[in-house]
Amino acid sequence: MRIHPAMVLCALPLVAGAQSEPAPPGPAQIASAVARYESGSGMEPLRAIETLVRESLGQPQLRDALEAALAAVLTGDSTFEARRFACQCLAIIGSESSLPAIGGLLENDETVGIACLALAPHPSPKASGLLLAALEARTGPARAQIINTLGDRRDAHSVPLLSKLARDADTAAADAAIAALAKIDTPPAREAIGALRQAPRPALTAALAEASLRSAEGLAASGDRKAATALFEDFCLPSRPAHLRRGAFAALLRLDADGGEQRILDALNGPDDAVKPVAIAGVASLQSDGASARFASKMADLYPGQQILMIGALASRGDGAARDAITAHIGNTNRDVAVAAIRTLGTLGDASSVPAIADVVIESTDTERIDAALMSLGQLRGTASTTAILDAATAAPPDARARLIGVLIARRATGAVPFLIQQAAQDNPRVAASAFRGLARLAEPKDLPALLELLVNLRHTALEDDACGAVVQVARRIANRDVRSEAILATYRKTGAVPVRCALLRALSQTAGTRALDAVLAALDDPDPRIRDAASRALANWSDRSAAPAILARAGSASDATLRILLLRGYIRLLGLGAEQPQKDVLAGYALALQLASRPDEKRMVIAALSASGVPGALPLLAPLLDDPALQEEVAIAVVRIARANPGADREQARSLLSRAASIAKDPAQQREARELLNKLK
Amino acid sequence: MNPHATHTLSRRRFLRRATAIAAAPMIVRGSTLGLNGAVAPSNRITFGCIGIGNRARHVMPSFLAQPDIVFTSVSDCREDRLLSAKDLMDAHYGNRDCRKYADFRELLARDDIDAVFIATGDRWHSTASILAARAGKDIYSEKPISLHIGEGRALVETCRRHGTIYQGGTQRRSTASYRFAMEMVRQGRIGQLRKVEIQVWTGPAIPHDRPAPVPAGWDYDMWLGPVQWRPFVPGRVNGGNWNYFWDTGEGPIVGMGCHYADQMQWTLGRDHTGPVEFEGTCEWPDPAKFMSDTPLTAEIRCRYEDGITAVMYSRGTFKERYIRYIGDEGWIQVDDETNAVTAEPRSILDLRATAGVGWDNAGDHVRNLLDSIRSRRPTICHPEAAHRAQTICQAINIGLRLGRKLRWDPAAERFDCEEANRMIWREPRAPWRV
Repeated sequence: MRIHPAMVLCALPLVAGAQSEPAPPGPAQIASAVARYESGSGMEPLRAIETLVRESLGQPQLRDALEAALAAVLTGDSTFEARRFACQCLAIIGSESSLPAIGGLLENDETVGIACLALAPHPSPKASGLLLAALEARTGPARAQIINTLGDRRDAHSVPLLSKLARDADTAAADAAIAALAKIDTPPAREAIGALRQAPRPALTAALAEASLRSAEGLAASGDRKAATALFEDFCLPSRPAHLRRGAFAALLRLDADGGEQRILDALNGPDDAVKPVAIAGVASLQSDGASARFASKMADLYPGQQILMIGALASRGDGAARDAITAHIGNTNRDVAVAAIRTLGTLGDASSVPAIADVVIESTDTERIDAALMSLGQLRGTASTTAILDAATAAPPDARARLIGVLIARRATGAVPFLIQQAAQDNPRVAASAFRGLARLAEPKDLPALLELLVNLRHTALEDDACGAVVQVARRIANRDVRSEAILATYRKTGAVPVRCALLRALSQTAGTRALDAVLAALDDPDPRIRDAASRALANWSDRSAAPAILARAGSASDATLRILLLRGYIRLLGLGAEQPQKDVLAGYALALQLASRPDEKRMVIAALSASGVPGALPLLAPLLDDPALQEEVAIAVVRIARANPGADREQARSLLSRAASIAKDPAQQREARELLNKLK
Repeated sequence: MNPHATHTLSRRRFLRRATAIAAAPMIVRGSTLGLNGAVAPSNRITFGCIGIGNRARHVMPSFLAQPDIVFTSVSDCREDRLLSAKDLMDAHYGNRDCRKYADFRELLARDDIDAVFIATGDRWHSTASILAARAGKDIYSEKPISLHIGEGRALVETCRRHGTIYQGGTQRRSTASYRFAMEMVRQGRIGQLRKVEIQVWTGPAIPHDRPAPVPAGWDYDMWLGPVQWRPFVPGRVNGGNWNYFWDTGEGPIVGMGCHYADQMQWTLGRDHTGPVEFEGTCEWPDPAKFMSDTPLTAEIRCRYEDGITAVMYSRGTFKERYIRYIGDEGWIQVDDETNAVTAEPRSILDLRATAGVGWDNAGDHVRNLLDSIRSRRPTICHPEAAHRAQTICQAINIGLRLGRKLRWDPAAERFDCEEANRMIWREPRAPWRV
């Protein structure tokens, strides 16, 4: 919302009470309304002033008037919040003309802070004069506030007074004065800080350290590298806290003509372990030729933890020498160092790194090293790396080959499919299983005949699920359901081996389609009981609803109890597939299932599924079952669940059934919920 | 670190180096490296928590999940929060050891604390970070990392001066979707980048409310901290409302915009610089009804020296946040709510599953901090990067508040407008200073 000053008119009681057709309020009128502002009252005048601030940027006359109006807010009986607001605005537009009014705020401890809000960014040196003049009369936080503001203004003229205050008995004032001197950072200010260093007070140690480091930065920026270096080196002494040593050391690296290379070498040979990580980190940004090789050669002198940091620093350099140095540590006897080197190569290396990393997979017995190597191989960039990994896998012994196949899968190496087909036929079950998993992910429909041949000629029955899974995954990549089953059906028809036929029936249940269903239905009458059983299970596990009628029919005629419950379960599962099925059809399906279920365990299964389905209109199906002593407890639970899911449906019947469920349920929680639902329905 | 060092690097060299730095494994086992020159017996990094409100509780589980961290102390100026924070820590560690401090300076004075987790309100982020750095602590700080540009610059310099490892809470640098988008742009998959589009949500407006007594257990003076005093007004203070007043927060443009500005800077490789021009319009709350003073909606354009532009919208609902990079051959977008990545041409998305890239192994923001604490190398969101991203949002707000187009010199960190320059710094309330 844009607030124009004219809009403020109606919000100003003193203006609104004026005569008709009043002129638009000027800054003075709006400011007089601002003067009464307290939180909770309307903010139209404040927003109008902010609009005027924006408009005044290019209008000197308006700006003068606005400034005068805001200065007026700082005097008289204005509220604190009004003065605060005026100071915020004067911080942006204030000139020398409003300084006297702002200066008045420095006479009161409670308004010194908001005065400094306006004075800190004020461009006039007279603002500093006001602060200096007010300093003597103020104490405590107000005094510290003024000192801070002088520092934030970088007021060089206040250095003599601040130098004196830095030795004041009032520690807070002295602390603030030291900080202010450091911010001002003129040669006299640095001199004053240097003098303080000669006789430091314990309570001011931290402030003086900060100020001294700022002085060193100032000296460096002004070109006095020698003095800056001396000061920074003083903060590298062992008596200094670790963080100051580290900060000063890093500053020295930035100052050194050689980028800190010699200083880093000295630090690595030195005793200060707190600084060594900073030194090692500095290796990353050294510019000299051969730095990677030089520091790589220092690795042997470092502790393992430091070696790991050096690997990281060399990795950041990213050049060939760094990569070679890191590769050399793949076989480091310290596991952590070796793992760091292996992992680093994953991001730094390329195809040429593959043999060394793959060797870890092949030769190591340490799972941590192997895992790191596998991760690195997965991360290496580029197709050339994939090709190199394929070569390594081809030459690797079986266990390593199986792992490397996993890497190829993770890299989605589609070019490895012929290799995987070959490996899936291998004797080693681990290799073959990996290969089948890879084929499931990477093979294409054109590879289906080869996969089916592998399934037919499987050497280990334990691999049947892997092989079958690969066939199904690849077949499912064909959009047309009937086409996707064609190759499987062709194999099914021509193979005589019963286990293979059974596996293919399972595959058909997952690829589905009309022809697949016909084949499975025909197999239900196969003379071989193993085929009949596999066909029944395939039917029960069918992956779409097309098999529902056939399952229902088969369940109705099945004499075997196990088969019957298997089919019933399959039918119920299909009822839950797909959200687009009309709910009345789903309900009818459950009614049929209940009719078909003859034994209590069968009925319980249907009741449980029905209550979980959330389908409306389910209660009438359950009503007669509440009378069955073998089922009534499950039915009572189902009634509560259905009533909870559909509170508005079948209210009359729901009341009746919930009433009965409450008396039947044995679980107190069930009873309570039934009664609560009942009360809601009443 | 020289803030302008990367200016002299070629783009290729910069990218190679940035990638290597981001990818280099920094995980150093505790058994092989100590802190401050000595191997700590527990080998865990000891943390203190400063400010433990809703945001802290949201982020804290990611810290507590790290095996090499132990929180030994908590601090908050609200007694209720302080007590529940202690309970939280004690329950996590199965002891009663967590120390509590109403004044975080006491926590900083402890020598046995290595690092701090700062999740106060925005008004405290820089000041608390700077005090922590001076006390020799390493830092994780929630974003936005500062309340004004001058404060951010002071934070950068203090961390450098004290050798502080600092990480800003712009976690999207460690999120797979954003890393993927960044890489795609850097690899030129959308052609030459022309424009970045960012959307944060429509800012709320806070109704008027009157001053009230400070609730028992609140140290309101400490709550205000560096903010110049104003009365306790529940509507300003409670429920995160402080986000929508200039004194204490800067609205969605900064609060959330800093995440996307940070992404933009990172993707463009501009962590040490920023745009040179800002211009926008916004809609302010109706002052008759509302006391909050940050924009409701806004549309801001900024431009980098090389002509790349960015548009930030404050509009729509919270769930509609996004960043989109638009090139001359396509675009890629990350929806913040869902982390979904969309792109044109769609084939770009196929690269997400390409072998050998490891998008889903983007790393972990907290892990990056801990590794940096041990290696003393900059975090993925180091102070300069965090400050530069934050500067974009703050410059936007200054432009909106002044209602004018601003030119910005990223090297000098000055505007072409004196009034805007006077808004770079806001004097903190003593005794606080940065």
